[in-house]
Amino acid sequence: MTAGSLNGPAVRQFACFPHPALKGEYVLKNNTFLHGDGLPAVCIKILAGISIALIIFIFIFIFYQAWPVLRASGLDLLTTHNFDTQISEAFYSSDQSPVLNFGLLGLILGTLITTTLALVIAVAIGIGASIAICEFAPPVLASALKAIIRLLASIPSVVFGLIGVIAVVPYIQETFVTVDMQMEYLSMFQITGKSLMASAVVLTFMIVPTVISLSVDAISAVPQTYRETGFAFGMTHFRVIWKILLPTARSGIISSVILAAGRGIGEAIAVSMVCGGVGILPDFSHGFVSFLAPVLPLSAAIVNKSEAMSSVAVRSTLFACAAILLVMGAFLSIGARLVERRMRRAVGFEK
Amino acid sequence: MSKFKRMITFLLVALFLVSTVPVALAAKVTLKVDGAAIATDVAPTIVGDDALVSLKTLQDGLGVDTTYSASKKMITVKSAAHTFNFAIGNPNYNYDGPIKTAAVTPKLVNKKPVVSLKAVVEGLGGTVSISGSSIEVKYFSLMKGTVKITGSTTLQPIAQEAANKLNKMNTGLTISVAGGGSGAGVNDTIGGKNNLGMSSRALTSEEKAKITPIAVADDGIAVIVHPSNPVKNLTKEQAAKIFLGEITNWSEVGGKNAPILVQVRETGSGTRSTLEEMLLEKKSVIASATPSASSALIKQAVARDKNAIGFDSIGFVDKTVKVVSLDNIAPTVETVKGGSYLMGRALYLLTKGTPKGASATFIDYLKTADCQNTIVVKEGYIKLR
Repeated sequence: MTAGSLNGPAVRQFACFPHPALKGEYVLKNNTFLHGDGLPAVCIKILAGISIALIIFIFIFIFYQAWPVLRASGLDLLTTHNFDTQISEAFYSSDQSPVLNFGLLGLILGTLITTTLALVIAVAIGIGASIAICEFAPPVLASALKAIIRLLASIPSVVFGLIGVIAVVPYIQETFVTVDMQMEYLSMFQITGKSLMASAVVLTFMIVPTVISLSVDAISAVPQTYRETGFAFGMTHFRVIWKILLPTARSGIISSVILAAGRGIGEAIAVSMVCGGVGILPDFSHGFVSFLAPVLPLSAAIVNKSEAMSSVAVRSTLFACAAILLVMGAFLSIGARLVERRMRRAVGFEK
Repeated sequence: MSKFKRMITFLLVALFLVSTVPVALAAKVTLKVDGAAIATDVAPTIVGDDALVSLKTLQDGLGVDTTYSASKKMITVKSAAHTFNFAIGNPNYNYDGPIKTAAVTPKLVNKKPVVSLKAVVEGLGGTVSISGSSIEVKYFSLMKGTVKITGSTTLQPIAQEAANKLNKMNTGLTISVAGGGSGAGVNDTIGGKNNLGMSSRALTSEEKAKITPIAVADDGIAVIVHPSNPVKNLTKEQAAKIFLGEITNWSEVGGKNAPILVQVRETGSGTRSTLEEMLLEKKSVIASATPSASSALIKQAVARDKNAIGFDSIGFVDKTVKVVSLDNIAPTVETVKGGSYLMGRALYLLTKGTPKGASATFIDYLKTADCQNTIVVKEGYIKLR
């Protein structure tokens, strides 16, 4: 996916179509969306319509299922927290008088903090690696590395979850967790290896290949003439990269970051295996230990509590979590378009 | 020897040999259900193409519940789908309402009632064939259709083993067993999303109005700790306080100076609700406890951490964890059945209305002696009877 193709402006295509009535003659047709003809065009339009309808339906369905909790909790949904006790009360409440007041702040903050942490690390590693692949690696090595990165990007996420459970969590437990620490914080949360840090590390593993492969595409798309101009001015290689290439490829890199953020926010299985499963409010007043506290991001909450979904109250809450995730994803996409539009204007040319 | 003595010896030996012949000719009556021999407390009596069998034989072989009232001379045989009422000395019996006549009349043998095998087996939908002195009953190898079972992960291993066995015995039968927790089992059954549900907790009166629980095994909930933990016993108050988060250090209950890390099951677990009801008097386990999604996972969580404490069905307990006794009573078959162990409970199959067809037969199968001995006990649970 090159940087320019992500959000191309709507372009009127001029195409040649043989008109059935004029055998042997070709007619130049102004083929806008409404005026195309022929069976393929109709089929494509129908399929496009179905996809759009499907997405709209999904939005409506999720908000409809989440509506009982959204209405009962109102804005408290986003500003209060006590998810664990609320969920067990809701599960045992009867269907006639369901408990519908939920506070998802702990979950929302958990999602945002894990994803931000993972993004910060992944972007640092990812952009550095993509520069190394594009600029410094010999061509053979570069293509091999690109293939490896693409392979990593296609590994199913549950494999990363397994790596987390088997390698990351015990490592964190042995290296950082001490018995004194556990005793001191036992009244607030249990410190085992499953923590905010473990979730961030596992998410980093998952996001880095995405960031690298998209950034590599963005940086390779910069025309060679730019580099040559830089060298002609006597700039060192590093300055060329820092001052010319990265700013030019900025829109592509930011798109890659936003895509990675979208993946990180939505990641459910891998994170649910290493997050600790307790939806406390992450607060950093304890310093480093806050990173060792368990966390429950929104998607992991949906996975963990899905067995209790037969109760109407719980089902509604989990759909509310899904609705919040949808809204976050929508913000990310809109943000991506806005950022890109601004970047393009700043760089001053249309790709 | 003199000729006279030789003759006497020969006559005695011949008499002895001849006397064994009637014994050999009178062969024992064997009863087989779907190819497996059933041990009987009272030998079945073959009468034509029917047989009289004792109530315990019916219980062991077909998984039905039987009751006998000596004063009224009435016998009730109840399967998952049908009810039979017999009376001693009367060939007529009540089959789900209408009166039918059996070929043989119930009577008492050694003070134990025996009833017509054919009436019961054919009423259930099976077949009886008698040749010579062997009785062949077919009931569990005549199942057809699909049975979808969801619910408690505690009962899941038993149901899965039984399903494997029955699937093998039958063609055209598919029994699928899934977990999800007792909560999911109850709600799926109420919503009609499965054929049978599994639950490891008793139903509330609200739920009992909509679905019927049928007990198929007994179980105890054991409090488990890591094998290296020196604590062997906890009083009920200590255990309750630990799970409520009021006792937080192992040294307070006789262990090392280490934090107590409570492991719990996720919401919707029948094991968790039974623990909360019986040990914590309906209060909830502390919110900061680490949740695990199934019986197997909570056992692994306890096996992995030296300072962990958790709870699990005794069917899941193995060498990787150590069981702590409560008030000096360990959960064994005797203490759970006898009621002296605090957290004993029954495991239930749930149905909406009267079960039919393969679902009813599956319920009956779980209560046969074959299943109880080879599956329930082997998996570590406790027999129903």
